[in-house]
Amino acid sequence: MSAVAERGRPARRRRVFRHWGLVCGAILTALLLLIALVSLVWTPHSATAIDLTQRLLPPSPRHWLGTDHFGRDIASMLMVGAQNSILVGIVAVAIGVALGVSLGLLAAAQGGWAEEAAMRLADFTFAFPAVLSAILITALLGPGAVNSIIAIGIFNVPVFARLTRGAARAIWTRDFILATRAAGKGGLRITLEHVLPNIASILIVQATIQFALAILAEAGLSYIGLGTQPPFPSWGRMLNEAQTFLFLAPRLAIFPGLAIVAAVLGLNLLGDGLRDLLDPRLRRF
Amino acid sequence: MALLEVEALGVVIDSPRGPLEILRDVGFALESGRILGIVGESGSGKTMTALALMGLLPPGARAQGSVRLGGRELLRLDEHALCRLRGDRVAMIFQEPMSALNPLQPVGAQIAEPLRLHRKMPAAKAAAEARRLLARVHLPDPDRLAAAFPHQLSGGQRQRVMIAMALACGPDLLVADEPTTALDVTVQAQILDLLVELVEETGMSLILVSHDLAAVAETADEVLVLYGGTVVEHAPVAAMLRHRAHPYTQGLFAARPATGLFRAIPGSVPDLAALPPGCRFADRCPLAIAACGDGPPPLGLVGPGHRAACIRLEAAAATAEAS
Repeated sequence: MSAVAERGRPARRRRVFRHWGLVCGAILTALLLLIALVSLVWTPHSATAIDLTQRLLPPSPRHWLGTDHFGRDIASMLMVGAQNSILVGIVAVAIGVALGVSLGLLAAAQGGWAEEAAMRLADFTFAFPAVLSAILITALLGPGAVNSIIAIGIFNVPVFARLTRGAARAIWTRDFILATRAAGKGGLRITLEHVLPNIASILIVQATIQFALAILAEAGLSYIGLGTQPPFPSWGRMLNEAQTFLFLAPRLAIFPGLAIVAAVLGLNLLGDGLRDLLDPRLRRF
Repeated sequence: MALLEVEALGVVIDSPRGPLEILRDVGFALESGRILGIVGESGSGKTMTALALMGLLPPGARAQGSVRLGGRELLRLDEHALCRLRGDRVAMIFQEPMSALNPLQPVGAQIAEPLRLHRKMPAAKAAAEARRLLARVHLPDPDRLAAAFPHQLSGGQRQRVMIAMALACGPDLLVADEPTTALDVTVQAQILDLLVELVEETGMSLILVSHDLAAVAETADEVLVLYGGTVVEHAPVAAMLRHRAHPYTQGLFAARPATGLFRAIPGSVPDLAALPPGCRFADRCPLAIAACGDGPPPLGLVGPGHRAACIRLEAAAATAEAS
C-alpha cells in the first residue's frame, strides 16, 4: 500500500506539469489573485485621484501603462479593478453553489415532485438570458456592484442545480449507495457523506468555469453602466470610457481588454486542466 | 417461532401498461442459524426478494404480503424505523464488491460506519472494532488494511470487507445477494466457507441468493427455487439432491456444467409484461399439457418439508427415474 502511495504522488505531480494548459491557467489565476491582494495594500498611484494636467499620458516609468482622460493611473485602476472582478466572481459562484447544489442534491435524493419542481424552476431561470435578467434585476434594485453580483449569482443557480442533479443521480444508482442504505443510513447523511464527496471534483471544475463567466458578465454589466459604479474602477467601465478615445489612445481599451482576456483565459484553462486531472475517464496524459 | 417468516410476499411495479407482478406469493420460514439458498435464472425474482426483505425496493416497486422478523412486521415499518433496523438486525452484502464500497473512503471507516450509526460508538472505539472485524473475516494485517481504499484491494478482499461491514452490529439475518458471482472460482469457495463459518459462530440466519446451484447445494440447509417471480420448489438440500420434483428444477440441474451433459433449458424467462395466467414455466416445460395454462399450480407436498408447484408431479417423477 505504501509503495502505491509513494509511486502515486510523483506520478500525479508529473501529470500536473505535463499539462501545459493547467500550468498556464494556474499561473494566470495566481497572478490575478496576487495583483488583487497587492492592490489592497499598495498601488503605484491612487486609482481614483483625478489629475487633469496628467491626461492621456503614454506609458512611462512614472505611469507604467499611462493615464486616462482624467489623468488617473491605468495600472492602478486595473489592479483595483481586479479586486472587483474577483469579489463578484467569488460571491456570484458562492450563491450559485449554495443554492444550486442544495437544489440539485435535493432533486436527486427525493425524486418525484420535488425533482420536477426544482428542475422546472431551473428551466424557468435558464429561459432568461443572463444579461437580460441582470438588466431586469438592476432595473428593479438599481445599478451597483451588489445587485450585479445578485444577478450573476442567480444565473449561476440553475447551472449548478442541473449539473449537481445529473451527477448526483448517477451516484445514487451506484451499488455502494445501496450498500450504505442496507447499513441503515438515511437520505440526508448519504447525500452529505457519500454523494457530495463523489461529485465534488465535477463541481470544483464547474465553479472555476463559472468564475470566469462571472468575471466576463460583470465586465459586461459595468460596460453598459449597470455594474460597479464610479468612482470605484472596474474593467468593464474602463472599456466603455475608452471608446471615446479609441483613435487617440487605443491603449485605454487594450489594457483592460487584455486584463479580462487573461483572467478569463486563465480560469478556463485552470478549469479544463482540473477536469482532465480529476476525471479519470478523461485522463489521457 | 421462526426468526424470519415470509408469507405471500409479492412485488408489483407500476408501468405504463399497468401494474406488473414481478414477484408473486413467495413464502418461507427461516430459523436462527440456518441457511436458505434462493436460486433461479436471471430475472426470476431472486434479487427482488432480497431487496423486498430489506425494504430497499427501487422507486416504483411495491411489496405486498407479510415479512416478519422476530415477530415484527417489516413491510409496514416506515423508512425511519427501517433505517434503524438495517445494518443492525438485518444486513446485506452485494454481488459487486468493486462498486459496493465508496471509492473515496478508507475501508476501515466504512466498516465502522454501522457501529457509529447504530451503537453510537465513539470514533476511536469504532475504528478498533473495525480492525477486529477485519481480522475476523480473515484479512491479513488489519491495521494496514483499515487505512486502505477499495481500489487498493482485490475482489475477494473487498467482499470480505463487505462481510465485515455487514457483521459489524451482529445482525440476526444476513442477506447475501450473489456474493460470489463476481469473484473467481477459488475465491468463491473461500467466501462461501467464511459465510458458513460465521453462521455457525454467531447463530445468525443467512439467505444466500445465487444462480449457482452447486454453491447453494454445498452451503445451504434449504433451497427455494424461483421461476418467473414464483416459487416452483422449496426443499431441504438433502431432499433436493436426492429428488427434484419440479421439471424446472430438473432442467436447472441438468444445465449444470458439472454433469458433463450440460443441457440448456430451451427458451428464456417469460416477459413480465405478458405473464401467462397458468404455470409460468409451461411454454418451456417438456411435460406441459393444456391444463397447465388454466391457472397457477398450487404448491403440493412431495416429501417432508419438500414442496413443488406443478400439476404434473407424477410425470416429472417418472422422467426423473428414467434419466
